[in-house]
Amino acid sequence: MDKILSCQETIVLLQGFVDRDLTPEESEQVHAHLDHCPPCREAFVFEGKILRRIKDAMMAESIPDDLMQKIIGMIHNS
Amino acid sequence: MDASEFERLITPELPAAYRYALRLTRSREDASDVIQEASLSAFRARNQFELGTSFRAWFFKIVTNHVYQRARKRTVDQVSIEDAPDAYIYRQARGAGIPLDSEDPSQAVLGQVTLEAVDKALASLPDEYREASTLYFVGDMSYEDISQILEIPLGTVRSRLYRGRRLLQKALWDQGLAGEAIHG
Repeated sequence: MDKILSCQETIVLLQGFVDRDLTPEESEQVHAHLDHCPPCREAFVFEGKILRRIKDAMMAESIPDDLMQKIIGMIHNS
Repeated sequence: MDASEFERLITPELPAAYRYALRLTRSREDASDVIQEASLSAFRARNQFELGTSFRAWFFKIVTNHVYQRARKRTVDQVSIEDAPDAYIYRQARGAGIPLDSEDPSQAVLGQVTLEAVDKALASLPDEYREASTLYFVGDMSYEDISQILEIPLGTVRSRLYRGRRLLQKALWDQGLAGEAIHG
């Protein structure tokens, strides 16, 4: 029978769960815990939203087109 | 490898490389210089790139070196890992009585996570956590890529990302996320 995770053990595994970096067994254990623990499920959903928000903020600024063109020009002219 | 082949490899990497340099240098001018210097260095060293390995990891390693060649000594106050438990913002928001479970009140907290706030929070992280976290967020990097770029084992990548996220959340919260979310 699979090990039953505590809330603390589940929280520690959330990063790996979000990144799909857990073993199939660990992933199954986290799933099982989340299915039966509304507070951890809420924490998991919120954690996903916070990470998405941080990523979106960091992705907000794009490389200027003229810089891209300058680099490609440098490569061909050097 | 000729210039056209090199251009084909480097072009898709430039947007993420620029964001990475921008987040680490916090200056558009420095990031622009870093990317130009790193691209030229990579082109000149292109014959050292081993075909069949990750060009992305190879190029970002060069970008990282150029960032640190340019880095000035940072004197910001750094956050401590001992004070940053898991799911930090969730715990603090809950403790502060901010409702997170109805329609979408979590937006009250999430809406405060702006680029400016994230940049400031990132700057307070020790370098090893800052670079790993930035690669993860701006580059969609796999743990394997980050391991190659920073030349650290996979287990160290996991631990730096894990601690980096905790520190980042604590730094964001300490900047006033709570006050903004409560007082709007």
